Amino acid sequence: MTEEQNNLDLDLKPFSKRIRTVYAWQGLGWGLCAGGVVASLGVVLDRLRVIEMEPVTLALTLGSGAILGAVIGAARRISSEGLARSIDRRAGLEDRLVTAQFSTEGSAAGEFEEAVRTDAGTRAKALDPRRLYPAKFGRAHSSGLVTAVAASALFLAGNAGLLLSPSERAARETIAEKAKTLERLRKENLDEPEENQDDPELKALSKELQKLQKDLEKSRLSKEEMLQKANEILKKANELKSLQTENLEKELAKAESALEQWQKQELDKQLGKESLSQEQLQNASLSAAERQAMKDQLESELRSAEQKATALNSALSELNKKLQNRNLTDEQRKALEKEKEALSKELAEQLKKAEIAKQGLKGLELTAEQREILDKLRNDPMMKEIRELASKLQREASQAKKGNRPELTKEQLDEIKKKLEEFLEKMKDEDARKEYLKQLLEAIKKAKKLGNCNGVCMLPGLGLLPGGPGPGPDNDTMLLDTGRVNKLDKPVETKGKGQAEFVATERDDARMGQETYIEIKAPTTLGTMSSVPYRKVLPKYKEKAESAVRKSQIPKEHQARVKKYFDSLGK
Amino acid sequence: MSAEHATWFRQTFESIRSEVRKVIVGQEEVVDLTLMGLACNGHVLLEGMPGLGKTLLVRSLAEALSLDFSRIQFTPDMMPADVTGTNVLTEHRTFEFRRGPIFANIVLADEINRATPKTQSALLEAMQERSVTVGGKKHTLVEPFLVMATQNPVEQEGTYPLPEAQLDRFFVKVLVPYPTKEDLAEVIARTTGSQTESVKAVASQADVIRMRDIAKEVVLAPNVLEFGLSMVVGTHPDSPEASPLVKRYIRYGASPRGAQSMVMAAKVRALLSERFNVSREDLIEVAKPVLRHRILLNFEAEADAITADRILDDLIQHVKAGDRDPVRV
Repeated sequence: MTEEQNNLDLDLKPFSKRIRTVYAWQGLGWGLCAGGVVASLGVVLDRLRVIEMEPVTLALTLGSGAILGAVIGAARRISSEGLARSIDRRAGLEDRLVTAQFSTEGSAAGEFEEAVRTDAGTRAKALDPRRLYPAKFGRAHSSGLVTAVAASALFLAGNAGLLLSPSERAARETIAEKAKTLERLRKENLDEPEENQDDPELKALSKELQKLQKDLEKSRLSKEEMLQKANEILKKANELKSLQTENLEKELAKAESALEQWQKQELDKQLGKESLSQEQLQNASLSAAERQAMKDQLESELRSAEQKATALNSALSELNKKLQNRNLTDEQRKALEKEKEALSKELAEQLKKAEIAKQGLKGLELTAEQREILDKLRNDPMMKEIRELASKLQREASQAKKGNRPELTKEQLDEIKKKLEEFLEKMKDEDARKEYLKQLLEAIKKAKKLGNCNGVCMLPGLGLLPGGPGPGPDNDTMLLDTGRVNKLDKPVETKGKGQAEFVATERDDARMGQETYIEIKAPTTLGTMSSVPYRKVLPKYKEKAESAVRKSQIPKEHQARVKKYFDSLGK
Repeated sequence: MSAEHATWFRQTFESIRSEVRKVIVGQEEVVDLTLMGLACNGHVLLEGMPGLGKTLLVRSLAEALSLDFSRIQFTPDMMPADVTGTNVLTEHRTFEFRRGPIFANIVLADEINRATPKTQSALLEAMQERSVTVGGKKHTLVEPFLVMATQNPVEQEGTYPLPEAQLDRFFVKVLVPYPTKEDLAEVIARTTGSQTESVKAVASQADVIRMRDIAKEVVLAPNVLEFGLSMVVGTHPDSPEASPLVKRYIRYGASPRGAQSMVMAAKVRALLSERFNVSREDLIEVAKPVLRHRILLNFEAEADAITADRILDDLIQHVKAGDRDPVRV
């Protein structure tokens, strides 16, 4: 590159810099425009509930669009020839710079080369790049602003409720509060617990709750939709709860088997050939009374089987004698042989029963030495404590299976876990016992998950579903199949005929405490809507009501009324 | 060559122009284009009504440059020898070449379209080769040699329109307009008064040749040339660069000689504009005088009364539109 070339490039450098700045400024406008378009699309998709759009996301989309546009603009390059041409045009230099560039490239430009370069250089220096390339507020910027404002307006119109009436706004605020509670519920029960991290089903449930929460925050759901959605989630939570209960039981069974394994190993170690059989080991955990009751039962079974076998033997002897008679016709012989076959079969069964009873009795018998060692094992303070903890978990599982709420709180479960971990630490080379503890720890994990699922079942408590977490079993699915039942906020004057009858009384239930309630008998409110014909669901509801009556979940004095009500619906 | 040479060129051009303007009132473009032809060694075709000062312009130019001047009034009965000269038998019984009026620095070919094609073609060789051949002998014309032909756009009866080949040999075709009222008043004042201005010689034969050398040195950048060539190529109806009007009304476009003339004219204009380089503006400015006689209009153009200038205006706009600012901000 020649010196002249360098000089001219230096003269044009400020212009090149300025053009890049102007390009960046222009790019910012177009970027904002593109960001605005994307943001508007996002807002529309948000309203259609395809994606979630937050104020931060909106601002980020617009901002990143503008920044990206500016960066792309600044990165644009212009050739030195193009730059010279542009300056020539804008400054009216009549192709002086272009020609000077050509003349510095070493071609045969003519005798005026030097004069051309000097002329071009002098004129370029006299120019102000800012005046030549002003950073104007152009079409790009106005388009950018328009799209950004449009996106923001769309977003605000949909989310801020500016266009809503005061009552609608109040309703929205209430729903937003519910959304906050829902968020807390989700975080506490699904997102934050460590044990949930590896569970895809719980994660999926969390995602659905999050979606519902967002929908509530943005008031994108009608009341019917909200109820329907909450119902679906509640159903899933209950299904997961059942699954977690099963898992807990499985883990506990594994733990139990690990415990037996350990005991067997210990007994084998100490008793050698005299060790307990599997049956003996299983029965070893029985109390004295249980053992006696079992023994009595087995003895009675043995006796009965032996007696029946004796009777069957004599019957068979008789039959054999009859068969030895040569005067029997073929038909008689056939009938006797058939009878003999049946008796033999029954005899074999009785003998088998007697053998089983004998085995059972043998399984109940323990030698003094066996008992002593077993007691020693049982009375080991550490194992005693561990077993107590295990029984707590067992109780938890059986409560969950019955459909009751978990008894153990998270804190209690954590405490059990801590203790078990401490025990695990103390056991050095006892692999069998360690296995037991590990299974128990696994069971605790499942119990916690169970608790988390139960936490999600608090949806009715948030007011998202009719009813609330009453004192009874919380898996009463009578509330789950409400479909699109629309609960109205304001009372509607009914057009139906009938007299409202108020019955005020007090319920006295030792278990439940006292509660004042009002019963209203009146025609149904017009305007309610159900997607399921009530005749279709009535038998199911009626069955549940009858079941509730049978299980005495309904006070006696109201049972007749409940029955009457359901009978009347069926007419 | 330095800036001083350019300054000298400008000053000489200006002084010649000033001298000519002493007797020619108005007609700035005509004067400038004629002088441009002189500086570029190109012949000029002047088209205008009689009495507009065409002959006076050429004569004044010759006087200002102290060059030999001759005038040929073309008529249908004129023979080529009347232009070139002929061999005559001397008293010594030898043939001697007697020079015709073409042997001058500036030749005014008045009403050239009245001569027969035969006579016109005699001029053709002289214009292009700057020599004449008589009796098998070639006679070189003096330098500088400039033919300034005039033709009358009316009274076309009994005339022989110049063939395309001959038209192409003219550097520019200058349309001499009717003077404005003010100019006419000035003409009357100058020509009917007691005092008359006379033209003095301000430049020599050598100066003209030097001016030509200086003009050739003006720098032309490739992309500027490309712009000019777009205009020349654009006159061809089958060219992709042709404008819609060109496609519709032109039969044949400009020859390469047109491009050469355009560049040379632009170079002179650049020097007169105190530049050492040719600009797009220069090319645009000279496009019409240089190209208007080099394009052949079709019958439709004649029927629609479309002139070559109108088509060229359209073509210039078309080419300009394609030449946008590379920086769009």
